[in-house]
Amino acid sequence: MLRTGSISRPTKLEDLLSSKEIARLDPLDLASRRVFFGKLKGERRSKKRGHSVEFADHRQYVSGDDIRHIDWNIFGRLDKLFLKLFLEEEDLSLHVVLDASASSDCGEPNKYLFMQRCAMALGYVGLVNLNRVACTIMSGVNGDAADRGGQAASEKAVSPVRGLRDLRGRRRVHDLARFICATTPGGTLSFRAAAERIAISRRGKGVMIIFSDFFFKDGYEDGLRLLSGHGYDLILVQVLSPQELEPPIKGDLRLKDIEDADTAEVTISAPLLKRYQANLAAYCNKLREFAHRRDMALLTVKSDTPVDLLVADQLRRLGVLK
Amino acid sequence: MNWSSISFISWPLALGVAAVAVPALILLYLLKLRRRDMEISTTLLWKKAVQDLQANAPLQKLRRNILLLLQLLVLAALIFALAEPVMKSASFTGQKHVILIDRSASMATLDASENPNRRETRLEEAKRQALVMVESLREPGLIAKATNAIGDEAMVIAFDNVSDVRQSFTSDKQKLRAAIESITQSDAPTSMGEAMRLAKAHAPKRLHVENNQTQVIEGLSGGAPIAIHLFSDGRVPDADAAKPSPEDSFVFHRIGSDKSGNVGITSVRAQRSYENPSALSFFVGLQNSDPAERTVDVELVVEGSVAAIKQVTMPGATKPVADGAAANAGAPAPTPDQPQGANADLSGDEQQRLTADLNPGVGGVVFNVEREDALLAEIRLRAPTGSGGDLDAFPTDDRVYVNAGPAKRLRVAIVTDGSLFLSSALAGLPLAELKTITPAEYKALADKGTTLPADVIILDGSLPAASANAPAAGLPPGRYLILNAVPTPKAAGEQAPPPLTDKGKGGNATIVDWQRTHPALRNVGLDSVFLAETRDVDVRPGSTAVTLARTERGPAIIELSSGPTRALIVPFDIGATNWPLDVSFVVFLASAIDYLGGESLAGATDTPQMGSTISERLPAGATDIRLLVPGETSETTLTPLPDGSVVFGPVRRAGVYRLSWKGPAAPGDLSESSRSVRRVPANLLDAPESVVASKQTIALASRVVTAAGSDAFKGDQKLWPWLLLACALMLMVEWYVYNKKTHL
Repeated sequence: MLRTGSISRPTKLEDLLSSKEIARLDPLDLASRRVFFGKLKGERRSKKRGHSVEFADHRQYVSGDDIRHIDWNIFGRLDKLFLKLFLEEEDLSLHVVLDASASSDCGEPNKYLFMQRCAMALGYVGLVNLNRVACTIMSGVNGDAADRGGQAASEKAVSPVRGLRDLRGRRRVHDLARFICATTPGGTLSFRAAAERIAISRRGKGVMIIFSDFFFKDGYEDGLRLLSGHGYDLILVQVLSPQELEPPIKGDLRLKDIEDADTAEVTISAPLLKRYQANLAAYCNKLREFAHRRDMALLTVKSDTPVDLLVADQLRRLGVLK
Repeated sequence: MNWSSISFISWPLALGVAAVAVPALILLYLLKLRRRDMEISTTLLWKKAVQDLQANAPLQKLRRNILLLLQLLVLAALIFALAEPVMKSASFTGQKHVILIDRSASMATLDASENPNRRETRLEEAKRQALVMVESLREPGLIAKATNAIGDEAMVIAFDNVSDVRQSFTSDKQKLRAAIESITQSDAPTSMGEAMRLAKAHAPKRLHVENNQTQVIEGLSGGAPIAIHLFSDGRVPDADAAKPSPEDSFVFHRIGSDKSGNVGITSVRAQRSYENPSALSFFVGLQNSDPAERTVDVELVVEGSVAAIKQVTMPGATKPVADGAAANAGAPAPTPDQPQGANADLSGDEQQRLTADLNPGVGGVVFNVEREDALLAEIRLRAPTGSGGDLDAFPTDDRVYVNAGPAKRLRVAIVTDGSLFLSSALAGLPLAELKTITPAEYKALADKGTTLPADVIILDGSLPAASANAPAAGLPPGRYLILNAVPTPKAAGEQAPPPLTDKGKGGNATIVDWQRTHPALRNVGLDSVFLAETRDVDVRPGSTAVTLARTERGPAIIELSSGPTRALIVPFDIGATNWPLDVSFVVFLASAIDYLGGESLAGATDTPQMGSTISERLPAGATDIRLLVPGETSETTLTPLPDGSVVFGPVRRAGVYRLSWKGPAAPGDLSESSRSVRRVPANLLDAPESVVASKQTIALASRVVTAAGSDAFKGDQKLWPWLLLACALMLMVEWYVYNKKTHL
């Protein structure tokens, strides 16, 4: 909850993932609760009916079809010709979205660093399994998000999203790492505007994992609707710091919002803390209900969760990885 | 616990602290305090939480703030403690103290303070010392039973020549302080006997319990010995009548200076010349208790105007005859109680000089004025013109008042068949008129309803007939000197037996006793009067008849007063005595006529003494009778007695008492605003009381007590209220520090 003190920002893959964590990620592969079309023949089943060994469906024979796929068992029973249809093996798109607003740069451990590491872990899994990986970072407006890669600050001020697309293969891992490390969180994020820009620029279908705390004063509903409506398997990972869950504050305080400088004067007392936690729980439940109604998966994690535990255990149980 | 018996001694202090501390505490909680700034990820949820709890509402702050509640409880306990709550309980009592405070005239002497610029009376100093003593009384400790820390009790008695208990035994210091502060100065002389008897009467009695029955043993006191504290200047003439119990201690707290001298008026009398009633003389007796010779100016003020001034030089007070054996003879061996005074090391002679009074120097002055009317005169003493300053420190006896009746010769009528003795004796008196009529003529006048025009009627051997106008005495209203007769018949319808019963002639006798102070018998010597034939008369006790003189057989001279009738009765035949041949007969006639004739005049020349009562006969028909006491602003309503007189007393203040009523005024009375007014002067006129030098010792019946030192009692000053105050201050500082989050 509190702004993190001096923090050393990661600059390369080794700052994000240790070799041990990478070793634990190697056996993993992306999965999806749905089956989508892939552009290329990857190691992913697709609903698109093609020539694989896995039977999918039947259809009536018409002149010109390949007679090698006629199901003679059905002909023997029904005296009619039907063709076997087989699932086509296709690749899976992975789109990782990071919330780089000022509110992410809080907590101990830092929430944004946690998001960066998770994004890198997922991106690594996708790349090494020849999946198409994209990464988008939603930055705050008028924030201090600086592009260490060289983009002009003025361009950054008006553009809430920065993206890296069409990455495939192990050799693009370092590119992904550099991109993730290039952004410093800050500013106020308009989630709806960012989601709109993502939805417009997104191509194809796939799995989109959004890392954010989802504390948007203008609401998260419109943005999520825009993102879920384009056929993506949407996974929401709500990252909260331990301090946001159990605020270690007391006394008479003037709380200042790190994004919009809004203030709230409070006298910390047990009833107030209790009320805050109730509100937080209600907020998270409301997000969960919204996600569930729209067939989105929601995972609420603390920023002190080990990355490998999140990736190898919680996301796998969620069906994102296998 | 009886909550209704709890009272608060220092409630103003508690209220003051509450008025400051409670608002300060609440204010600290309600004021908008400086808040620490803290940057957080989002205020989204906090604002909602705050709104839900309405954390910024003042009542909400108070409602859930247990700390504030606890601190308010602590503050409430502190405030109640500062109010010094006390509760009556059957608790243990320790020493009993009797506080005797002398409020007599000499205690008005302005020499109590050692600072000459600060004039404080001895009574004020006595009260102050008594209050210090009350504060020094031990209070029971918190755990009285376990630690034996028991409390003291005290009672307060104020006395002059009359004593009254101001507060009975109590450990309540508030009551004791109130009782002491309510004591006021009196101009009456001193008498301690009654005060000591009161103190002993209130002491716990020795009880004897047998067969479950408790019996008080008279004469023995029970419980622990009592400490008697006398706050006085030691001018107690009857100290030897005070007899404290042997086990009781007696502490004499001397008030005032033993070097104070005083010049005062000790006697005054106004008298008109017998031959020339217009010539009025004022005889003034003076006394000087100062060892040095003193010269004073004596002023005569008549009806507010200075009529004469005379300067008088009086010799100083002298030492008594230096006869050590004689001086100490009969006195008990001194066994001083309590801390010895500063004179413990003096020689016997010096001790005697200090304890024995000096013989005051006396003097006098006479003023003569020519005034026929009745008047009120004031005689006052002043320091000689040009000397400046006050005469002395005791002003009470520097001023006296005296009434002088109007100059008037009396009209006397004799109802007789002929009496040589009477005619001869009365012929020599300065009367306005002397008329002699026979009993028949007197009866004829009475039958006609005509009143005999005389101030005094002498009835020689005859009495008027009974009539509807005659009261039980059978005499019409008037003044009578009755010789050789006893008025006895009742008026018709009267139920009570007559005051006198005539038993007829008796044997011979001599007069053995008479009231020498009665105005009719003053200067009358009846020793040599022999009655060859008496008249036996029974005087009913409680009636309006009073025996003035008696023989061995019974009453010889009787005064009878009943309403408007007053008579002096000599029941025996003066012709059967040798009295007419004695000069006392003429003196008696003159005094009796003066007395009877003077009753119809206002303003007796005698003034009531301090501590006595004022008794004045008002004219018939007087109603709505009120009395204004000197020094007071509101009048007291008086109810007349059956004989028409009013009584008020005891008289405690010197000055002029004003009686006023609606109705006719007697000669000498004033008329003001449709009311009749009579002025009655009251003076100290007490020679012993005018000697104001305080005494170092007091000789009681069983011991001689020396004045205690100035540190006779060391009081315990309570410190815990200061600690409580400090606690309250520290608590307020702690609140401030806590709320400011200041780290020291």
